[in-house]
Amino acid sequence: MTIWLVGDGIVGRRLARLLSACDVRQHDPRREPTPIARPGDVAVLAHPVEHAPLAHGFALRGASVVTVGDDFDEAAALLELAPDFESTGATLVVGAAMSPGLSGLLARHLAQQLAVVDEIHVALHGTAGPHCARTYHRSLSRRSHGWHDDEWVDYLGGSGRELCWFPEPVGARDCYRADFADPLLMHVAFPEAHRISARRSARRRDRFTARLPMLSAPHAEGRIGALRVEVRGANAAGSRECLIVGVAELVGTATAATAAAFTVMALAGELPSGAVVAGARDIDTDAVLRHVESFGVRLQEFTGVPQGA
Amino acid sequence: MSPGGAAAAGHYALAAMKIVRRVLAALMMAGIAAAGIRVKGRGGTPPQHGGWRPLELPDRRAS
Repeated sequence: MTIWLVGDGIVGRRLARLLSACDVRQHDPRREPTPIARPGDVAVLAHPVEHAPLAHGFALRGASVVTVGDDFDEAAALLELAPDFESTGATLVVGAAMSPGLSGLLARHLAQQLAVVDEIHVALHGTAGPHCARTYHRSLSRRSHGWHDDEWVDYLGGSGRELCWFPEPVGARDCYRADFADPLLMHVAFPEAHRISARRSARRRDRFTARLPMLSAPHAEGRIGALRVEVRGANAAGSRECLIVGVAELVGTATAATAAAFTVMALAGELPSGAVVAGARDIDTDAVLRHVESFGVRLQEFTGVPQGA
Repeated sequence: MSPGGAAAAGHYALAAMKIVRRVLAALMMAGIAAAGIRVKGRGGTPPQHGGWRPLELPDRRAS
């Protein structure tokens, strides 16, 4: 079985390294629009342009697909491809990045400790490669979607400031609403949650220039990024609980580790057919997280405000 | 320099010396207070509970 890797940016190169034990081949849709995959193969889409048309091409060949992206509309388009993958017994993993992706896995890990999940709040800091930085820049100026009291609400991107504490060395950052796919995919995985929000860290300059073209070319890769997932609900005794986990890692590295974990599980046939989102009940979340850890990402939980003896 | 000018210069020199003496006195008092706190303080202990800890995953799926 072959892994078809589409995209050779920061994430693509790291994926190739993490999956070097497998038969990995690069696929360039600009040179070869129709993939030559076979049933049982897995394609990892880590390129900047639209994923849905290429994913559909792989579905027609009976191959599974793991997509790395955070665009809200793109995620919605990919979810509509679920019947194409179900009909061939293949798997489509929608959003196997740091957020969405690792965020959903961590949310499910926390939800397993609760009897009732009411709220899920995600905060993300940092970017991977240049395309990720451009997407981040745009996301602060677009309408950002949030699930609030069981209905979708459109907020102004860059609004809703909240001081979020990430694992060290990132620490405290002001985070704002932004346009990315995490609320949509979290809602698919956690339909019972009444409130789902996703925020990204930003400086005053980022918010001020969000509606302008990028004033300078983005860096080749961002610095250490971070992810923070907070799940609120009630335990079996009915008392309120607020559980928090996080990651401090290069965004490209954490994204590649998450995509590689889903790829390994798809190759092994350990994922259900059809569309799969991180954090869904029907996947073995802890097994995916163990793969993520084995690829070098350190997961951390917040155990309360630091206190002396 | 006229007698009046010399008197004015002497007045300014005295005022400057007064400020210097006051600044030195303030610095000395601050140093004494800092030294007292430094000697008397125990330094405390680093946090023993809370903060970020490595997440422990269960070995296998419970269900």
